[in-house]
Amino acid sequence: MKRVHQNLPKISTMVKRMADNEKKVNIPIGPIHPALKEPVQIEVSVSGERVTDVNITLGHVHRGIEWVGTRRNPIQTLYIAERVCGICNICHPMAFCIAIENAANIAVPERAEYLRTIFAELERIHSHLLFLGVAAHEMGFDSILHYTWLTREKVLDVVEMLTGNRITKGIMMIGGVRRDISDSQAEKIRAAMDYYEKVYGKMCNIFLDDKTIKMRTRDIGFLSKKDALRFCAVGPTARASGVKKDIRQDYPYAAYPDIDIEALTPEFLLKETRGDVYDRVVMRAIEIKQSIDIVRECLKEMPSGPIVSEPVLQKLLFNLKQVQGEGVALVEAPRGELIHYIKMEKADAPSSWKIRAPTYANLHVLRTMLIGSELADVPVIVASIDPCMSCANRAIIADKGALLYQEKLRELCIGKTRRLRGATK
Amino acid sequence: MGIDALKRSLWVFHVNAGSCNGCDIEIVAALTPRYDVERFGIKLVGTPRHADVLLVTGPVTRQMKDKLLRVYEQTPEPKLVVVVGNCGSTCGVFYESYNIEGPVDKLIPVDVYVHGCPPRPEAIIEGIAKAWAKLEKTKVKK
Amino acid sequence: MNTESFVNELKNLLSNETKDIVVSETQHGKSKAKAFRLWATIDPKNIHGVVRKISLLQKDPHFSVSSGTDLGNEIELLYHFALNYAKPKSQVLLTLRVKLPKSSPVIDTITDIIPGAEISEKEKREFFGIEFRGLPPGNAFLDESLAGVHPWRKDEKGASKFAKNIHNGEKNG
Repeated sequence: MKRVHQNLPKISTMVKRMADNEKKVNIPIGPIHPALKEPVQIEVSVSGERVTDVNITLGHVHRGIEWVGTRRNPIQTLYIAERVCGICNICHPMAFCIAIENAANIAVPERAEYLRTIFAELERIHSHLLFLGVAAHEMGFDSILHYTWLTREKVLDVVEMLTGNRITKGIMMIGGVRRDISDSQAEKIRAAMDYYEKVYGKMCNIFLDDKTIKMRTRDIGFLSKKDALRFCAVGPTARASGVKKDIRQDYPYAAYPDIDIEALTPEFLLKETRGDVYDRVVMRAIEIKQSIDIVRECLKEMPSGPIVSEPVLQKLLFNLKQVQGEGVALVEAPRGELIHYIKMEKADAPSSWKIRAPTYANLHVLRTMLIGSELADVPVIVASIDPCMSCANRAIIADKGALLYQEKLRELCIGKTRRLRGATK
Repeated sequence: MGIDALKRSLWVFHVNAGSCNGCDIEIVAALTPRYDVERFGIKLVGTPRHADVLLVTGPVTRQMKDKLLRVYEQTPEPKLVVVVGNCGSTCGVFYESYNIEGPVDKLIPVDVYVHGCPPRPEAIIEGIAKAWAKLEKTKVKK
Repeated sequence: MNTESFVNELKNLLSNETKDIVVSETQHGKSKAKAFRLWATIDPKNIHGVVRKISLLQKDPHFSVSSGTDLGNEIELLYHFALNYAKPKSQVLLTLRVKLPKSSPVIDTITDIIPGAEISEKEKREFFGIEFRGLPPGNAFLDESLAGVHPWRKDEKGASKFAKNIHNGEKNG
């Protein structure tokens, strides 16, 4: 108990409460905090080292995107959709396009659906590698961070070759995609997939056999299957608790209906599904393998034909201006189910646009995971849902709480890793 | 500006003022093995009190405005501000939003702008190197 | 249960509540697999009962999000559900539509049936000024400088007066 207090920042509320001989202490984390890559504020109440309550406030990244989108025409809005999030900037424009196509009854050429699928899976590989690095970083295992981010550069190179940019790709278009994949490019994608097959093997070795990772992530941050269902958790977070929800399997879009995708759970590699942080980490590693297979299959089965239904943008805009209707799209983003809703009423701009990013749904379960855990485990548990605040926060909260710049929490987290490691030597 | 300007190591604090993560992951990419800025002594630190340079990303949302100002005040002199990305420089595609207080140079003095959406890691490194050269000539304001 | 029969059961269930049910299909991929979307307009008073009935048909219905549009005198509120999930190519996307008068936009919360709807309802409370009966207070989503503003409304309470034009350019919206 004493150790923790020495490590905690001296904040007025805490000092006051300690003076009152109260055992409960509130610790605000964020919005600017080294353990969080993005602004979000998590207020944790602790008793001793145990977390007793959690209050998450958001809104620091709210940029009013949906509102801005109702002031511009759909093609301009497509580029805002791309800037909802710098990590999932294939799925946001893709969901936006599918929603508009649904509202306007636009049929997408088959080849474009395959191209979309390939881009989406390349994005999943990059996002999951990024996650594995961040998760390792939070437990103080920086060599893995550097290894995963080094391997991630390869997929960024491929994306750059295909689209011209590493991060924002500008590849989606309403009714299709903007650039085709040539045979020589397909060859390079295949080579990259062979490379990732090897990386996956190495990842499995690291994440399945390394003692430190297991010690640090096993049996913390539990999410039961019941809670995952009740709180509508999505994506790898839900699957790691044994809920086989995967939009690619349940409600296939693009080229997914042609590929028999099965929603995987950690049982694919492990004997059981526990729903702890370790399961969520391993889940991502498993999905890298799944993505490699999907990309290969798409390259093999890709039909020929046009890549966009209406290549003349002025004509497309004119057509969209006549549309009266609404569309809704579900897409499996790297972090889970993403939904876009759009309403068009014969005007330049859509009259309503709603985005629900996966983190938005998973924030409910984050609270369940944190309560009862140790303070030193908070950063790694938060990282385990792979939160993406810029997605979740287009639309959300403010705080008046104290602002802290503390490396202390991450230090605590790393300290525990070192302690555990020392204990087994 | 040459490598002889690099007399000491430079510590950087990163503030996300409402960014989409695009610039932020490129900043992290600059730290990881392919670009590896740590070999020049450039390091991300966990508190502005240790920093020489503030890296600011994002168009500055209403909620982050006072936090950005506070971070700026907490950074010791001499300090420099590098804005990474179009959002921080001009608010980019969010220019008409009701929840935007930016761009960054409306709130705090900016020394180097790195453009791009997001800029490549090479561009970010160049921006920091420019700030570095500027910092070496700067004296503490009294 | 296969998708078609699930859609029929759902239609039966909803036909007691409303006549306005639209089923739309889209097809994807070479195999032209069908994806079903169901749209139903219901009375706002019945929302709680309808969601309760749906939860009997599908245990733990997956609530995706609620969205909305300002229609002038009314606010249209949509509840998007994903049902019959976790099975290959079986999911049905159900959208329940309710229209609330702007003079008193009040509706029952569904968080007691689906706890995962909490953030979504709180967001609608802030952004449209809809009152959810039974939803706990707390969590101001917007900055306090925007108190009283409901950004997604298209009337005087909307965010238009806060619109900026930092680039100072001509808009050709």
